[in-house]
Amino acid sequence: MKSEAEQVLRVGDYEFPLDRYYCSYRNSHLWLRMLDDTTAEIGVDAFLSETAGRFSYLSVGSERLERGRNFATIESAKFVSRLPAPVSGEVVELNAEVVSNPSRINEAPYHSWIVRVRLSSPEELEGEHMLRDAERLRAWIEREIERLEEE
Amino acid sequence: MESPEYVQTSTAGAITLGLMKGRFYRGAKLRALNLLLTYRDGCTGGCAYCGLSRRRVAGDSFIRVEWPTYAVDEILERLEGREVERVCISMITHPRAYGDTLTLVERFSAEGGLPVSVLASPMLIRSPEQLDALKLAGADMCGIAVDCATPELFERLRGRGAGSGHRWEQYWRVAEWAVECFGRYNVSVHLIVGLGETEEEMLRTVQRAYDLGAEAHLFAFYPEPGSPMQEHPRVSLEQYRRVQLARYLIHTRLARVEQMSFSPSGRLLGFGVDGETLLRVVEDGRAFMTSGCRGRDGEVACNRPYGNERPGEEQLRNYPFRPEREDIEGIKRSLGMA
Repeated sequence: MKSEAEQVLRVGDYEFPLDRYYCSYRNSHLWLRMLDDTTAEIGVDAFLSETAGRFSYLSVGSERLERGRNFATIESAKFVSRLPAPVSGEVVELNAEVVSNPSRINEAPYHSWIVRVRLSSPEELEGEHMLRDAERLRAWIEREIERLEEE
Repeated sequence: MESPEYVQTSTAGAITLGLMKGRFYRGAKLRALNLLLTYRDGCTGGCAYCGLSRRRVAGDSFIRVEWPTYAVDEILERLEGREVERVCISMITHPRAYGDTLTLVERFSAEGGLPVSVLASPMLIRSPEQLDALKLAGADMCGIAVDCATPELFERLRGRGAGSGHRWEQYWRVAEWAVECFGRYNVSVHLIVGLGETEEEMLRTVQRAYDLGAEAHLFAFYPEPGSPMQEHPRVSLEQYRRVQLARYLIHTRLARVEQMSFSPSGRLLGFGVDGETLLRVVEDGRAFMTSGCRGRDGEVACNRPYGNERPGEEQLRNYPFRPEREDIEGIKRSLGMA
């Protein structure tokens, strides 16, 4: 049997490793992976990175994240996504490599974290928009694929 | 990979045809496919602001984005069933461009089944008969990229000052021939706002084009990295909004440039209409949409989503869709009306 770190959910053309949370709030398509009990890294999932086009600009505006408030903006040539923080906390590290070369996210979304955060309210991980369960994640991504097709 | 077998298309075109991954912010839809002739030795022009200029030392963007090259056969195949209203074939200044444009107009008109515009390169058009031939091949609209609002700017940025063969008089001569050939307002004159002209100079040129029978289609200057004008500042949002609004008033015959007032430095002060009319036009929003060739439905087809700005900017220069309430509030702020 595969370990959690090896399990990957595939929905359509998109893959979602099951060792992390996915944030469905405002369809932000962020992932959050716990590094220890209080520290997590946050990045963009495969759905957003594969549908938005090659990212050319990433700006991170806050040192403190407040759940639901935009903390970063990511852009491709024709699309922009303002990213709401999936959790509250303090930014302890910014991935300068990814900020200066945001197309790294397109190449490897799950290895291209944007910020590392010390969570101030770990209970936020239990919020309704934090998806970890494969079936709930699948249902949301299927809705997202449908929404994209209707655009 | 050269024309006429291959062409370049804009990033927006490539996304729309499914040739490139990507999507459009706010659900914008590309309504006209822009194609650019392509040759190994490139454009012979040296225009100081242009991404295609032979004087460019680095970078490969054109109008802010990359233009990948594809086989014409593949583009025609993928056009089928797409919600595209028009195809525009842009010549570049190259000895083969006129003949290849004829070939491509014929193909896209016959096989693509869509209205076709030609963005003609006036230095390659030596007689009105050449335009007649493009029309006969299937083009129904014609654009002339004058770009600069005054003869002095033109001469400096794309004429002798740029070591280039473009001539202001020839551009306007071809615009006149095009009106004769394609009919009034089936011709457009492209103008780039922010190359160093005053608002008055720009609007006098807009009026000149309109009186001639050509629509003026506006672009907001965006510096291309590696071009001689890479350090030139972008046109301010405020200036661009005033020019957009005044252009719209001229095009809807609500005002002429002679009725507008300008400061001694050429800044637009009065739009030549009463306050109520002005407010109505601003709130309608259409004045701030991209100006371009029309589709079969009579609405602008060449809407160039995010061609003049990054999608994440606070306000779009050219809206590829009708601005919404929040957009209008921002526009009013730029115009000092809020």
